[in-house]
Amino acid sequence: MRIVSLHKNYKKSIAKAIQGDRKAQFELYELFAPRMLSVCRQYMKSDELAEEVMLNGFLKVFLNLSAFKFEGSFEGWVRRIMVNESISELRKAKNLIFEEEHTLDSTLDFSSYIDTMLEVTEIQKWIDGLPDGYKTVFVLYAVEGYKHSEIAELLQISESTSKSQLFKARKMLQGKINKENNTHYGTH
Amino acid sequence: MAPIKFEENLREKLQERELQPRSEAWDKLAARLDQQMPQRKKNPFLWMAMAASFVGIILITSLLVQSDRGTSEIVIEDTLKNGLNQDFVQKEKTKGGGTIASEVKIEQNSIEKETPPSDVVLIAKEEKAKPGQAVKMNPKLITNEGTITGDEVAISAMEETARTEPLQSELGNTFIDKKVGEVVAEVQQMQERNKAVTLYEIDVLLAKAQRDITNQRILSSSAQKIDAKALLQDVEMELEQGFREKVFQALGKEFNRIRTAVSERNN
Repeated sequence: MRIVSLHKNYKKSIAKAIQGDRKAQFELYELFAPRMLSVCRQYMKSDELAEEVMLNGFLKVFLNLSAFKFEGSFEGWVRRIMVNESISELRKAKNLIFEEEHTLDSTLDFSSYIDTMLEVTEIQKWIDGLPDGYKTVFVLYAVEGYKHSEIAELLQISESTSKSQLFKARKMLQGKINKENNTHYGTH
Repeated sequence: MAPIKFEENLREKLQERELQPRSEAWDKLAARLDQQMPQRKKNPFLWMAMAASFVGIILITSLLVQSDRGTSEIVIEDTLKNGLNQDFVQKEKTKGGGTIASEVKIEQNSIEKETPPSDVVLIAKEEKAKPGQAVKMNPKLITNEGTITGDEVAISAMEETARTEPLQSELGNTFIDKKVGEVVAEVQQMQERNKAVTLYEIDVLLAKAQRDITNQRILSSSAQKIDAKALLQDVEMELEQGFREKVFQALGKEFNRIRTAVSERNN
């Protein structure tokens, strides 16, 4: 994971931004906006929606900047705000539907392999094809590294629901991968 | 090519991805921030206060520097005034038994510690007069050197001036001698005219001669430098002259009055 290199006036910008210095706020925005837009785009279906969510997220960042105590990564703190904002937006649109699965084959291990490196645009296209519920859990678990307990608390669902949602997301993706592999090798 | 795990590949790609927002995105965010988080405006008064403080500090510093200079100037003036320490004592006249005595004592101290103090004591003393006896007016000049009379006054005063002034060697004794001669000649002329030479008149001649000597000394300075001592002595003489004039005027009036009273009584 490429770490955003710390700007030499990183902490100074934060201190000024807390005071309402618009220039300092723009400096922070300019530094983290590209990465945060990508985060929001993982959850939202379009670039426009992702940008709107990102701006809402930055608004919350600057309004609550004083809450950051420099105890961890500032990028991680901002990233969590962006994730929360994305989920809130999905919840508003009532697109987050989680079907409770009571029977789940926990022995099923997802280990799909691909032969070539996928382009990020193609990956995004596959993720966009997933239902919001599946996609959200899959992104939180596979991309952001959340645990099922954390996902459950975040989405206000049970851990089993989180696991089933992840399973279904993987199942769908595996179908796409198999289709991609079959196309690559021209099996059909 | 080795198989690549899909999720690992997906994680790496998505975490490294960066998407550039539109240029107007910040404008929208700034507008929202303006509504909910007013921008901190730079306080112009802060800069004005800082500038005013800086100017005030400079003014205070300049005033302090000027007051220090003023203090030194005041010290010099006080030194000049204190140097002219004049003690005027007049004893009460006593009447009775035909004896009238009045004594005036004037002391002058030099303002410069380097030069030896030149105490010139001028006493106008009325001798004890017996009935029928003419009063002898014998003005005497008493200095630290002893009592001298008449024409010796001019010579001793000139010598004292020469002794107390360190630059006399530059001037030479010729000019001083010349001035002494002039004063003596003037006194003799006044005596020849059957005019009683008063102490006041003698002092005026002496002061004039002293002034001439001092001026000559300043002008003849080979280094073309202003001699502080000469200037100070010049100032002293000018101040002294004013006071001495008043004193001798008073002396003269009193002396004449006493002489007249004694003459009338004897007659």
